[in-house]
Amino acid sequence: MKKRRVTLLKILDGLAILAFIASFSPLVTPEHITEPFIMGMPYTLWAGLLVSFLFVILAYLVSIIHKEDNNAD
Amino acid sequence: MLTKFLIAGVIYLSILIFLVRRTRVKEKTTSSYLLGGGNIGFVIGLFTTAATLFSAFTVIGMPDFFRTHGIGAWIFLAVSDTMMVYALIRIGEMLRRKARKLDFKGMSGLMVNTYGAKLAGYVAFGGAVIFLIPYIAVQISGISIFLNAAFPDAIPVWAWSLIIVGIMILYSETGGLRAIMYNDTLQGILLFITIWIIGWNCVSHFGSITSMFDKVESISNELLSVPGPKGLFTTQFLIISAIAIISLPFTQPQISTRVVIMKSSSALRKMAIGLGIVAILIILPTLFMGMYGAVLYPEASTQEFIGHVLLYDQAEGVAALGLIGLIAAAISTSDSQIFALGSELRSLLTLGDKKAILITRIFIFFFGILALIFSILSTEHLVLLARTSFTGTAMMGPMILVGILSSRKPSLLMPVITVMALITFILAKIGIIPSKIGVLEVELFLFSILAIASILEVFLLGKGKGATSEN
Repeated sequence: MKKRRVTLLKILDGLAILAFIASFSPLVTPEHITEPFIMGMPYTLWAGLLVSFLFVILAYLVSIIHKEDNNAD
Repeated sequence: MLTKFLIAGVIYLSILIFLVRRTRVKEKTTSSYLLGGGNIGFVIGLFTTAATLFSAFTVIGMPDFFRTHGIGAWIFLAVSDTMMVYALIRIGEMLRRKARKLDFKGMSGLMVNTYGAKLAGYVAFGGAVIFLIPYIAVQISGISIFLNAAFPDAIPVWAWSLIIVGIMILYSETGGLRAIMYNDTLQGILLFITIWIIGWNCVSHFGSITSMFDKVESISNELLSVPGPKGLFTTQFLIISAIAIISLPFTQPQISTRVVIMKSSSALRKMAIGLGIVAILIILPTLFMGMYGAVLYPEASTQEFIGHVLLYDQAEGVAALGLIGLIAAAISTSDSQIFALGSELRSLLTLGDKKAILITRIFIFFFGILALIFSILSTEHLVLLARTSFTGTAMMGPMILVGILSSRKPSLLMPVITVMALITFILAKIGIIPSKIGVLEVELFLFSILAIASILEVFLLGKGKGATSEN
């Protein structure tokens, strides 16, 4: 069980690192590119919104994995 | 408008006084006065951390940043804030565990215990004082100048600063951290409501989000992409800002204290996720305000633009609420920072509790006065100074993280390298040494050196060392 938890945490950390790198690469922040617009929003803004939500979701998943772990209480 | 502001101000002050009376600590000990009893639930934890994090820098600085530099400001703050939430939830638990074992009073004291050397504590404390005082000062001065512009015939700028610092010191000295946290909750809610009413009004002006961005595009296409019209949001700038913001829960003592004193791990986790959602919800309306300014007031000064978006373009009731929200935003961050500096000092003192608390309270007053003096003298730009403050304290991040994560007693490598990094950073900021080293910005260069030092410490020097002082 603990081994599975550690593996899942490593996967989430890996995703977080990938999202971090993507945020500062042309994938999310291409220079001077505004298109495509989605719901009226320019590319970097909606891509940035997606990254923001992704990090909150990743944090939520970590919290589920840690749910039984109350070592510091 | 002055009448409505005074009515709103009296109501706001009455609630503050009520909360201070409710939370007043008669027997002032480190636990009850400086750590708020160490039993903070999810809701209070969320609002106090959010109010501490989102300051005048958010209410005044971010709309102006969006207006001037465009939508890259979302990556600069919102994306970085949600990254911070991930770091908080991953490392926060380890910080709490270490804090429980080593009788946490403040991050500086924790570093002394972890490294077994006073140098580590002095570095953490010195870094916090050097980078927090100017940040507190610039917030107070920003709000005071703005209030003076709104009511030019009322009182001078310094008198507004004096009133704000006076309120902060009074309730910090009386109620301690618990009073600050309850007031933060009030101020956080107020800030949230105000900023959304104003943000919504800004979108309503255009009819929809789509027509708002259409209008912005017709005025300056550069605002809708990075690096923005002035080329500020380069990849290096965004990475440095992200590292600085991700480090906040561990490098800025007002936030790390809140992480440690949460009632339970479960409350911390809920607080962290809530903080991510609140970050998105608070920064979004500042984007609307910024885009509104980009269309209507592209050439105005910061003061003129903020005056219009918060006051003159709003109904009188909303404007009065906007002013109170602005004061609340500045106070809720600055009081926590001044108080945290006091707690950091306390954590370095080895005197009896009563005497240590007395000295701490004197120094909280002293830090308040210092911030007041700096606020009267300061002229710096709010967002960029906030970023300098975040980046400066982030230099301590690797040392603090090695201390928190290491199961052994680390060597003095990290404190020594951190002192050198802090000195280099300050010299670069005041222009004595270049701000670029090769192609790298000096901050990124220093972060790289600190990262290499951390790896050396953990994988080479740390091996074979004795256990930390708690074992």
